[in-house]
Amino acid sequence: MSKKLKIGLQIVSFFLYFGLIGAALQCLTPLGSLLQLFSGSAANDILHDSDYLVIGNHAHLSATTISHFPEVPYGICTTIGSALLGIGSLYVTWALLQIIANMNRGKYFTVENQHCIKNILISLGFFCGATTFLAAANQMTESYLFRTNVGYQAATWSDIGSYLFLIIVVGLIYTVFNQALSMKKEQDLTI
Amino acid sequence: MIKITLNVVMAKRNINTGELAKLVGITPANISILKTGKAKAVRFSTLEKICQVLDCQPGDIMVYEPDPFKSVEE
Repeated sequence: MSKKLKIGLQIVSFFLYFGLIGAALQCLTPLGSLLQLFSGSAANDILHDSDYLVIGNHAHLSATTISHFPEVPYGICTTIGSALLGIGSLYVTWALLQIIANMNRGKYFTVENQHCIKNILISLGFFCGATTFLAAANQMTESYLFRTNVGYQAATWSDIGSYLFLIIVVGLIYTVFNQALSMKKEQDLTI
Repeated sequence: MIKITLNVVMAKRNINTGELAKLVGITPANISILKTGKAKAVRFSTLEKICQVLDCQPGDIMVYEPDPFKSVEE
């Protein structure tokens, strides 16, 4: 391994450890969503949250409009969405850290790395699911409260397409990696 | 399937894995892989050296045995 690559990997793994902490904290956000769901304060919280921007001239909403906001479906969507996002983030960060650790040990085409790529693929599936639920929640805030989420849980329907494309790309890499691994196994067993 | 009979020839020549590996120029682990039938392929150069050291033909260290449960199409 070249010196530049080694330094690069060390920097990436350093930031990934921060990402891992962030992902662990992300796993706590569904609790906040659940709390919001049971307290029934979702609509008021959205209206006073800086993460939500006003669409058009709807800065002030009537009490009737606010009361029509589907708090329960919104709460369920954000809880499931943020839970999937947290699990996916933990999965992908841990898998990347393991791949980098294996690369530092000079292990490239190994079964462990194969599992890590598979875990990345699974986590992208989690992200896709999370985006679907969060986009649905965002759609509710846009349609009922005329507010769009621009915070860390901002998701739109088009984001699902991006994740699907990523799943295809990583899926292709996983297939090629599997083929390379089986070729390496055969090479190792050639006397 | 190809059945490896290297251990039979080795026993006849009274040579152990370590000695054969040293004479052939490969690791004892590779000889072991070959003996246990785990090898996926054998290089012509390795086969030539084994035959040279053991003074035998390739057919002495490996034989073809038809598998009754496997068809040609597979």
